[in-house]
Amino acid sequence: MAKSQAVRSRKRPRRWLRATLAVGLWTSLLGALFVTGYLMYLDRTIIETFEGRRWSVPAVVYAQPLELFPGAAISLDDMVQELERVGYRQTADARTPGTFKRRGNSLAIYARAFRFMERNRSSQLLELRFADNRISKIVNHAGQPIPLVRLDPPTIGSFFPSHGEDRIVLTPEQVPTLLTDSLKAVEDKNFDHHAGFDVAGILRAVWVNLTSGELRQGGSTLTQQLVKSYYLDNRRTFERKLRELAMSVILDARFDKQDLLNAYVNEIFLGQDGGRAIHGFGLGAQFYFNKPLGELAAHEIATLLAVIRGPSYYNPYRHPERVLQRRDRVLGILLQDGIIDATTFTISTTAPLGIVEGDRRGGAYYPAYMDLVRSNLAEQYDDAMLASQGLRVFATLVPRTQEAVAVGIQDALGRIEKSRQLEPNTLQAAVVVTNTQTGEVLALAGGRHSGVDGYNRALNANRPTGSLLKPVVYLTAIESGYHLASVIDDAPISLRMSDTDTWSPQNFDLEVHGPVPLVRALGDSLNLATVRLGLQLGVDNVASRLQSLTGHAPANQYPSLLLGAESMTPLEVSALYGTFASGGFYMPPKAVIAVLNEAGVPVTHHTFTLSQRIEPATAAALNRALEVVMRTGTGRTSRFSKSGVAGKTGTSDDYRDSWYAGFDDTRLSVIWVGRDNNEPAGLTGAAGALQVWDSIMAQLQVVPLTHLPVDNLYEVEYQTGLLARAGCADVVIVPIPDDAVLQAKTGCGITTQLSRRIRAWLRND
Amino acid sequence: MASKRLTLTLLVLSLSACATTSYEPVVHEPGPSESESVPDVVISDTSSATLALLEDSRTAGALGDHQAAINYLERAIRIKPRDPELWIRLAEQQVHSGNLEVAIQQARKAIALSGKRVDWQRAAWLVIADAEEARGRLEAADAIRRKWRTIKG
Repeated sequence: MAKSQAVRSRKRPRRWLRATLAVGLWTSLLGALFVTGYLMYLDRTIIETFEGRRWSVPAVVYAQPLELFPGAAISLDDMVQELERVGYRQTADARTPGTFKRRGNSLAIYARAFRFMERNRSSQLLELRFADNRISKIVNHAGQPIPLVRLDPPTIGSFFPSHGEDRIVLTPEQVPTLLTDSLKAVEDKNFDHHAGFDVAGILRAVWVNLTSGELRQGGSTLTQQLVKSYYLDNRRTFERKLRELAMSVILDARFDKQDLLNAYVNEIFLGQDGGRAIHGFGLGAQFYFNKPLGELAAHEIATLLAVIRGPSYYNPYRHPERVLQRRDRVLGILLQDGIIDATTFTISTTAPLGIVEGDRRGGAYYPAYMDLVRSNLAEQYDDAMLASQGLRVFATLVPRTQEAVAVGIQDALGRIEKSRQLEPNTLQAAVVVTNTQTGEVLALAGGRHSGVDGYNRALNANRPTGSLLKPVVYLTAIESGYHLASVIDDAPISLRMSDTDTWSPQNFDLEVHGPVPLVRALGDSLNLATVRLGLQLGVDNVASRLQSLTGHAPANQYPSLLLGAESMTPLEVSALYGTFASGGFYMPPKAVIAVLNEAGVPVTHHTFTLSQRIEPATAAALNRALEVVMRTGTGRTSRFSKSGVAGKTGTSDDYRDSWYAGFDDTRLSVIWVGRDNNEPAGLTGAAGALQVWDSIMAQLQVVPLTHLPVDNLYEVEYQTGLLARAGCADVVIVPIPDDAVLQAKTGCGITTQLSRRIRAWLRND
Repeated sequence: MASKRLTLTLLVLSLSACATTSYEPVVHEPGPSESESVPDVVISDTSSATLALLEDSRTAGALGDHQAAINYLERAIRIKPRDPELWIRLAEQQVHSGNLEVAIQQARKAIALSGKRVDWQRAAWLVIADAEEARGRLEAADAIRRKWRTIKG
């Protein structure tokens, strides 16, 4: 009996052991499978992300480069502003690209290399000489005169994707060794040797933090930081940490150190600019210093390194003192590790922070204009392409014009609100400026406050155009046999619209003016005369003429269309007046000149697209009338009324919308002023929008309109349309067709014309 | 007719007492010096710059790089937007590039800018003729060339 019991007890422990082993083995096997599977999943995820981000470069958009040539109308001071706009620094001698030096009446400039649309331009030394607020001569480094040279254009925006990350991707060659050496020294001393994580680094960090009493060092390697950056997640759970660790090891095993370092340089988060997250040192350099990374000095690189640790905590704009302290500590590490020498250390630690302020910040930002760029590109490029393929977009914007617009709006609206005792900061505005002959959009303001990415009134605010549509009526009239001295009756008119509704328009001055020449009816914006004229022509004819000019099909087919009871956006109005200012050619609003791929190969090119819609002579006649508007009519309060400009003021019903469209020889501007809530601002076109135009043009240079020589200009009395001469009446100059019959004003001594007319009169029998 | 002659005679008689001064159409173009207190008005000299670009475009065109030629000419036009020659050369390059509709419109633009300069008008019309020919509209092209063979200027 005792023997079997002993045998049983010996067997039980072995079975239990075997069972445990079996369970253990199976568990480990399953566990290993699970872990392997999970690692494979991590592997695939991190590789995809890494490769994807590496090649994911948002399209960058450039403004028009400044063309410099002898005779160019730019003063030395303005030139300095343009240089500073693209981040050039004034130095003792211009010895490296991106610097300039003032020397009396001249500027020595070391122009940067730049890949323009059609060629790569290498960096070059230039000397610009100035006289009378113009460039008088340009010479190269050998002292030879050169006729033309371009400044590298500013970047005005990029198409960062919907998750908001913006970056400039740099190749390893574009990254200064100072930066990579410093990165390793400050963040990950053992980068070149570890396998993705660094125990020694962690221990060192713990020690430093303990002894210094503050969080001075992170224990993460660059690889770990890179992984963390890919999956921005603030939950610092153990599970997260483990994942990052695994992924770092995988990355480190799969890619070489150079690739990882470069990825880090292009990826690390360096700050937030509204909705735009600044990623990578390339964009960081541009954002904080408005310079390419290659031009940063040691103290500026140290600042960027300081920011890595926490771009909000170490925000140079909000906490400059804190950042300065950390920067200097970084410089100390660099000195200690022999990356910089003592002299550099001293210079760097005494240098100010040096980050750029205001308009120069972040390479300047024009969200309203970028809306138009996006719209132009939408046909051929989708968001994904724009966000990732490194395309280079050359746009039509002229920053100097854009700035004049932004300042002009603020100045004028502020002044208007003050002088009329309106509530401050409540008026809104939209402005579009185009080249009169090419239709390229030089500037675009979507609202009163530029740089704000919000409602774009220039593109999207549909507002009644009021008197701004009148020129279409007069154009139709000229094409139907009228001329500018033809007489029409400014007399009361009442139209029965329905059984109960009568339309009885009034003039703005509530007066009746009787028989008036066309030029005056347009010049003084007389409603009664215009309606009568329009009815004679046929409202549907005017409506279809409007449509034929720009494709805008008027929703309103009633007589009130003649007085502008039709809504259009400022951009549409710009296209309409563009057909006048160009001498008869419709040009679709254009913001993009060309798109090149990352290699510099052109993908699309948009040349000047025109479509002739008005006979040149007719357009010239209409433009003469618009000049009269400025010299003598409703635009005469402009400070440029006698400067050889043309334009039209517009006011809508109840003074809700104040419009102005006007042009000199080179620029057409369309301006709307009003309120977003559609409450009347109480401003006529002249009192509102025209004031904004004056403020804008005062900062630019007005060039009087060029007139082609014609044989048929006559002086006629503005009030009556009678032939007259300057000495004996208030006259305007208008073209009159040869077969027209005109009467002369008595007392001006005009007879030869009369006899010629009589002969014509006889001939007509 | 007779009543008209009567009116005329009466008119002439009544007017004969007035001083007769000849009256010509106005060729009156207020130049910058005549303008009253014109603020910030300038006339720019852009010739050497656009000449350089014109040269560059000719070279590029001769080498068959029509897109480069177009780029140069567009730059020139941005500097001097109303120069008919630039628009003519641009239109020519568009013909070489096969952008025939664009070429015709740009040539029309040159014509509109030419004023009385018959030489520019001719050059522009001949570009239109080339474009029409390239489009297969041979009669239209012929008609243009025939017409401009006879016009002097």
